[in-house]
Amino acid sequence: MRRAIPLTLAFALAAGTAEASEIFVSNEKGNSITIVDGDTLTVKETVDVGNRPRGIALSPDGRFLYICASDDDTIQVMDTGTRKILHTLPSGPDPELLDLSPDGKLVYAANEDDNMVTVVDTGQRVMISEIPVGVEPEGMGVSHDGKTLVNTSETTNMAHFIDTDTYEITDNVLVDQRPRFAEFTSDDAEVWVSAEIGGSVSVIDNETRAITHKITFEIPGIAGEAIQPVGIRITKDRKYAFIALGPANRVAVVDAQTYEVQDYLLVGQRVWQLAFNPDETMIYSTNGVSNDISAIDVENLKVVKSVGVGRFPWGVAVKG
Amino acid sequence: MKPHHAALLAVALGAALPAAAQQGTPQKGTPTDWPCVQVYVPELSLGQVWAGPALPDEAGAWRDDPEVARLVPKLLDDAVPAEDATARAEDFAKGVPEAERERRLALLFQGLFERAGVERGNMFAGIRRFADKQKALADRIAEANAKLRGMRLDVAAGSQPEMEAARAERDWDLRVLDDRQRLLPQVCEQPVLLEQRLFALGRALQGNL
Repeated sequence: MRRAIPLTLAFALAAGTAEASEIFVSNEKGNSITIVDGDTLTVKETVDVGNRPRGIALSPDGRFLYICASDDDTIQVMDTGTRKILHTLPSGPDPELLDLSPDGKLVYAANEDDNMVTVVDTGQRVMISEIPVGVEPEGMGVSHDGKTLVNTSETTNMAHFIDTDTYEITDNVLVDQRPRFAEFTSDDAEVWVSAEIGGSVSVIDNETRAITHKITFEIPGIAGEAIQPVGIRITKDRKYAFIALGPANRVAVVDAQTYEVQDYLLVGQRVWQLAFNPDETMIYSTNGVSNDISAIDVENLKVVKSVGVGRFPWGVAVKG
Repeated sequence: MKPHHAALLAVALGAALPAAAQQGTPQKGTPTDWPCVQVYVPELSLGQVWAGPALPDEAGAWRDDPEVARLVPKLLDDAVPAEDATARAEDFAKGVPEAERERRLALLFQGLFERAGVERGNMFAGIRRFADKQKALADRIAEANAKLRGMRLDVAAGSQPEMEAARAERDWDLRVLDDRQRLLPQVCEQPVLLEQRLFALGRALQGNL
């Protein structure tokens, strides 16, 4: 009986709490989305989707998951409740990464093959603009006020700043080789852009559009060329930035005020993209070669668990 | 040329191109004959797979611990499924007394890292030999094609049987080239599988520290 009371209490508490968060992971080679329970960190379900799913993003209300089905040249829209694909959106060829406007009405997708950023109206399901950018566009970041879109082009080595009213490029910022990802700070004051081959993250002032800091990485026992920054996530309070370092198999923890690297957490092989849970107590990394995701406790900066998902996990998004 | 041959010839020409060139983004330090889409990283870095206690300073120290020395090749044996090897590593870790654990798990990982490094180096050398052979065969096919073009002009002079023989030889070479080329993804995958196993073993050991 002594054990029964706490158990009953635990069930009562569980019943009273909000629904557990769900982690959606795209498996690039598995052609599927794996859904992981955010509380128990166990796989709930794996759902087949289009070919070569890479970038994924949730609508602001969490009802829809937008999936770049790169080899199908389309964006699929999944109902996160029923896990069914509802319809597709015209994306242009080979969509790789996407981001949404803050109101969820627009999807911005980078088309790696035709050097365009495609703008799609999610309600009307029509393409409303195509913006010519540099060669091999990849990273996509929308400012929190929705006014600015940053796209990075892998071969041109630039971050293109696009005005979302006019769909015109207003600034081009040269960064290091093969820029992969763009992330705005929560106050939109800065954009952080990772350079995979350059091995650095450029911090760009969103007012002046000039690089103010460059973060580089050095890990004892790892050759410099294995340090390839890709995904970036910054806490809303700008305490930490987490940067996925590709085949270094580490996530760098950076003080987002001083730009000093504080730690390198060993997660899984070929760490690619990152996503926070809604209250930013956990951050999840996709590890392509070890076919798993790792959960990092943000307060303690410890990897708490790795969870096997599908083949070559790539994108990650968390529904609250 | 028959369509089938045209497709095979495309394979032959493709075989002569290193993978990095086909992808348009050559990596720093990648040999020109590297045929795999995987990035050329000839040596494993310890930091990519291990964040646990420091390994012994002396290389090969793991060989002096008989239990570790027996376990290392077993854990890396690709006939043993990776999951089973990982479970075995965990069992070993749990069986080591707490006070000894850091030292002996580091010793075991030293053995795994050293031995996997040697095996991986051999795999890389094998992949490059494979690529060189394919290149040589592709060159021979290109020469045969040039010769056949010359012979075609001579058909009127009565060299038909010789031309048929040369064509048959060229077609055989194309078939061999094509068959081998189909194996390339598997060949290139071998070091990746080894790295996956090493990483999983390292993670299992670190999880018990």
